[in-house]
Amino acid sequence: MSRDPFRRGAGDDIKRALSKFADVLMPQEAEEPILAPNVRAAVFEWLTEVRAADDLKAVGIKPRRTALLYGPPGCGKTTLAHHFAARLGLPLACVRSESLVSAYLGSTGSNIGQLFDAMTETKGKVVVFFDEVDALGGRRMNDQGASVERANSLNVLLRRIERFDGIALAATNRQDFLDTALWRRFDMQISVDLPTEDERFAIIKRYAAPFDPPDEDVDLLVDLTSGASPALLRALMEGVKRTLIVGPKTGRKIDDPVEVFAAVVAACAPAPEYEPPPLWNLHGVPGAIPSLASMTWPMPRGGGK
Amino acid sequence: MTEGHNGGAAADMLIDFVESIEGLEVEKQAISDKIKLVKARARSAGFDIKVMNQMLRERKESASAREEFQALCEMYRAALGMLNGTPLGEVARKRLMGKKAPPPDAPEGGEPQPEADEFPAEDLEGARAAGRAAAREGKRIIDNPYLATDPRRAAWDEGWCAETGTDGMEVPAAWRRADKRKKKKPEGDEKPEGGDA
Repeated sequence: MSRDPFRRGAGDDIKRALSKFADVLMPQEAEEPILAPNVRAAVFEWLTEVRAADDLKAVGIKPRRTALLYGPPGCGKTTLAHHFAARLGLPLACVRSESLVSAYLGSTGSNIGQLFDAMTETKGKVVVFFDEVDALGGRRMNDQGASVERANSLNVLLRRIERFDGIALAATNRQDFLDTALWRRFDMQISVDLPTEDERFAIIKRYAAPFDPPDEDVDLLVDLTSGASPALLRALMEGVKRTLIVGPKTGRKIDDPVEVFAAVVAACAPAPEYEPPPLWNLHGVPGAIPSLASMTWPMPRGGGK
Repeated sequence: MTEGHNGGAAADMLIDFVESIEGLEVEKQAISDKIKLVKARARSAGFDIKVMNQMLRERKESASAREEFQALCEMYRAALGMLNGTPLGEVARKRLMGKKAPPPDAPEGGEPQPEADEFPAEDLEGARAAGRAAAREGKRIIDNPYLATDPRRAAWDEGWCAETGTDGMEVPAAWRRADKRKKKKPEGDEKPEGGDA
């Protein structure tokens, strides 16, 4: 690893400054994102725009600074934000929303203020990411009790985002619950949805490594995982690898793919808000798991990546 | 200081000092022997002792002193023609030239150059070339060696993307199908609107 000492030092300073409210992910820790073409296009355009700040300034405009990523949970919103920050060479500060919310009157707003003050001190050397921003920016309902406190905190958040000079991203899987003023406050709203066929193929391949199942087997899994999130696909493939290693030690037979996958499927389930993919829809799709009997087994090992 | 027989108290004090120093010298030798042993172990583990000694020296310095020293080394190497043809050498050479005398087309009055002018087009082209080379070597796009504030970072990224013909977010070949899918797409697996991840 040839990281220069200056960069490492700067990262440590940022971690220290933001540790109360955020986890800081460094650029070199970013993973390759697996994104739909339209999301990639939006991200690439934004990157180019941020880099063309001087050219834009010459015509009197600034690059967009804020984006809201919305879509089902586990679809790679954090990975996307991390990749975006890494391309710019900046750390990503993932704000822990629960660390901002407080039961004491006025404290949530005060915490939000402290966070933005700390961020300002980093002088734009960090990209901020509010995961599950709906925890802070849920729709304002009425003017009573806790709702007033929530509304006040949201007002602070709106004001500080407006004045923030750095780059900020936020993510939510409850876009219908998000306050419309907060929604509008972002320069961009990017939908990060469930992966399609080609993306599922890549995700299964990625998390199967160092095993390298033949393409026909991966395609079989692609069909049976239609509607699965990247997080669920990861849990599935890591579960299979775990079973292959740990299974023999616990007396589990691992010479039959159907048994191995059945055990993994029983132990990891899609989030309740999803329509279950065929592999998990044990009542609706008879034979989904048995069809895995045609897989090449044991799974061949490849070079891995 | 009082005097006694044969030097008295002063002589005793001197003996104390000398013996203390001799004791410390023995300890120093013992520690030095231990360091030699550790280095011998490192050598037998395959490490280059010359490089390790350099790292030990550098770790004793502050980050800013180290950076300054390295920048000076770049300039010296460039002046001696030891970096010819590399983007780094080109940058160092230009910095060196900038220190000696302003270029002939510099603005009158020796006004400070705008920040972007620290990286003339040739430097950016050098960074682009380095990005292209990195892509050919299979480096990841996030392995960009330039800092966030350095205009060459974007140029390196551009070079990487140009070489691969992608936006830097392409799914790696190892995770793609070797051939187009032969099977018919099952029903209900159409691409949802608005994008995926």
